[in-house]
Amino acid sequence: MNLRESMHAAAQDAPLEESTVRLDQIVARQRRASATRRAGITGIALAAALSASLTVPALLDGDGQTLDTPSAADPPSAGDPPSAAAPPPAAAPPLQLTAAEVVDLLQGRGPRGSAIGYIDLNPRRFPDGDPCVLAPGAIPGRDGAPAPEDTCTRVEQDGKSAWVRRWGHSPQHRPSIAADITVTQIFIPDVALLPPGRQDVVITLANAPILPPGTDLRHRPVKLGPPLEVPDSEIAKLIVTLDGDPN
Amino acid sequence: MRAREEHEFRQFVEERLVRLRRSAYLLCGDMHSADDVVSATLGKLYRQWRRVARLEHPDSYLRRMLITTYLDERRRPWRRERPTDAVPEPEPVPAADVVDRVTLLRLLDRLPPRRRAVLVLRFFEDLSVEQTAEALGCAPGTVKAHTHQGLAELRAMLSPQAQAVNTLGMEER
Repeated sequence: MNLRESMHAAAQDAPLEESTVRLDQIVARQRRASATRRAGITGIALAAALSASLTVPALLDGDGQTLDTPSAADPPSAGDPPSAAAPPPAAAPPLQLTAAEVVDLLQGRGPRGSAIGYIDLNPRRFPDGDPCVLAPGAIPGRDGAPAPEDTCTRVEQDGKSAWVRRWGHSPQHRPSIAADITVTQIFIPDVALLPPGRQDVVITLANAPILPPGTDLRHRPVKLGPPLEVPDSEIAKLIVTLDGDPN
Repeated sequence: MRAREEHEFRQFVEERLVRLRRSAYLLCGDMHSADDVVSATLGKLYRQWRRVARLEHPDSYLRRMLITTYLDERRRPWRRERPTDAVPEPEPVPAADVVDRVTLLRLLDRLPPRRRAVLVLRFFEDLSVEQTAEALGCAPGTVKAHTHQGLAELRAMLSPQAQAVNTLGMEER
């Protein structure tokens, strides 16, 4: 038997007509996977920035005891993967949330849960005043310090007040966080929400998962949701709702 | 990946797709498995495209990806051999110089995946021992050994008449 000729003859005779190789599908799948990986990298970078931001100042629970703090990771640096800052293949329309929807999401309910990358409510003490003001000696975007791109607003309603900080990518100070990431942090003082008494709380919403540093992205499916928007008017309702309904 | 890079990727693949599917067919033995292996290979190629596009010999890299994907696929648990009570008796292969597709695939099916890959690379892709070693990520001596053993196994499967008629095309270069 002539193996070479037999192989070429068999290859020529191969039933190639009905191909299941779909190049468009392969490309589309890889694009999605790429976006997922990018969201995962961003999630880790975000965790680093977020955990750092929450550890300033020291975390205290209602009794003044130090809580278990999230492990402080290195802040984003220029050495992080550059793909994390690349724009997404297609910009998703923003998702506007109402106060009621935020409350539902905090309680693990609501139809929009799958679109939210991260939502959390933590009892935390935080400094008084505008969170966008850089503390003396702090480096913008580092260790939770604000970057010039961050925006902060003060919301007041029925004697209650809160500071809202909206932040994300900063080309100079947070290059590792993707441009389509939106993080909203609501700093609400003196809330009668959690026992044993009134506490300061920080609500954090993001459209990307916030993953612990060191997460193995190969085994952790992650996705990037649409940019989240919670208007100040809804935040005003939220702070009143939270204080009036401890359940 | 930018639009221009994606265009180059598509062009590269489209020019090689038929040949790639034929190689995969000889490796896998059926077109559905071959297309699965080709699709998985192209997915990997897409992810690596920026690097591959800058290589001097991107075809060698693609070939290596195909072989690796095929071997990985063959290692999956559901692909492994299952024990049976009866040992199947191999059917005698007719004494023809060029055997038909079904017969050839039946012969190749009896070879271990890596040995089969060596024979496909050497006798279909017409690669040298060194090129085959590079594609498989092994030493040239390993390729020579696999070639020798693969040919010996094929000869043993052939009917006595076929062995007597012609083994010239199966000799190592």
